[in-house]
Amino acid sequence: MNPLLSSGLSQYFCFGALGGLTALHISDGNSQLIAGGVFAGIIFAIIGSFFIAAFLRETNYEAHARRGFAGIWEATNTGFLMLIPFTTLALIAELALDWNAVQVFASAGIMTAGATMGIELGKISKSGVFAGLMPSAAALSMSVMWMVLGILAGALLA
Amino acid sequence: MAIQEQTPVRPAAVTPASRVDVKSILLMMVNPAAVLKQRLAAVSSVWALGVSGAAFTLFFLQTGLDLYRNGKPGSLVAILAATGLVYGTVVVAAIAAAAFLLTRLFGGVRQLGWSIKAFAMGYSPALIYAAFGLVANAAFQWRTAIAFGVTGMLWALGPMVSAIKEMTDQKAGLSIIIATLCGGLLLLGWSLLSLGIGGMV
Repeated sequence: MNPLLSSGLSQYFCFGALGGLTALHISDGNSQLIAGGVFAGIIFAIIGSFFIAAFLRETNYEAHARRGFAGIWEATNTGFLMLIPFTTLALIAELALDWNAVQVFASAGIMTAGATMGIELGKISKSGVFAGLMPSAAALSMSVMWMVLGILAGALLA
Repeated sequence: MAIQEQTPVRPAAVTPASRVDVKSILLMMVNPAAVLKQRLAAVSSVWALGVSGAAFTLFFLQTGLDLYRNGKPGSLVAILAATGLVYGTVVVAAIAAAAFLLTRLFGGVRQLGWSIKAFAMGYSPALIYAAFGLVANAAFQWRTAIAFGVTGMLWALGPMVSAIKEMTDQKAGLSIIIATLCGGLLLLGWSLLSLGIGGMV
């Protein structure tokens, strides 16, 4: 795969954009708060991706034994590539169509990324149903965390 | 001379391309790549387009119901549902054909028929979401077009990327770009059609 794609950089852009869109609604267009939202999104992506990769390392010993943490990290980054179409469509929906549905796009994107991570890990290990479901479980918790943080930010700035 | 016993050839009860494959709809949500590789050949084009047609019919129907609750006439519900059926069959097939042509420019390896079936079956998650959405819409009077309908359409992006990866011989970056274009066109089309028809009726 293209090194730029497998580096995981795309997920920082995507979460940054989703954070900015979330802040756009909360702050009524305040540029400083939108910049804060972008920054918070990037921080969330850095912490979240490490959390998911570490979680997958603990729940899929076979993948870790075969390819090490680098293999799991690559599967995590490949999964997060799936955020690109969701983020692009969220930007179109929010900025061009004036919708207010960024969390729908974010949660669907994170869950699809989790399912893709499961498929990628399945290529390097055959650890069974439990290990196969763990990426989706991790993505679900990340998605819930994203929505909770969005609600908290809205409550704090209201 | 020994008489060789011949095993009678049993005619297949169904031809592979006419199977009604409900299991593929469920598996498409979990592992679309595996369904595309192992099961798509056994799915007929009519069944595949039936899946996307049903998904968009239910989605547009919920859009109509939401608009009806906002004071629009009841006839709009039927008009939008019929539009959804055309959208889910003709437009999805046209978008799949456009994606097929794009992938051919980059050395695509799949046939047009395969591409249309893969795109149409990709709307399996949208069908499941739309069915749940219709139940919630009817039972609780919720407005479900965005919450269930758009979410279902977004879930179809995963299978769409998998399909285009198969069509482009696993070119991930190109697949994501084409899927974003196709998904964006379908989402914009729904938005413009529902607004346009809703404004006219």
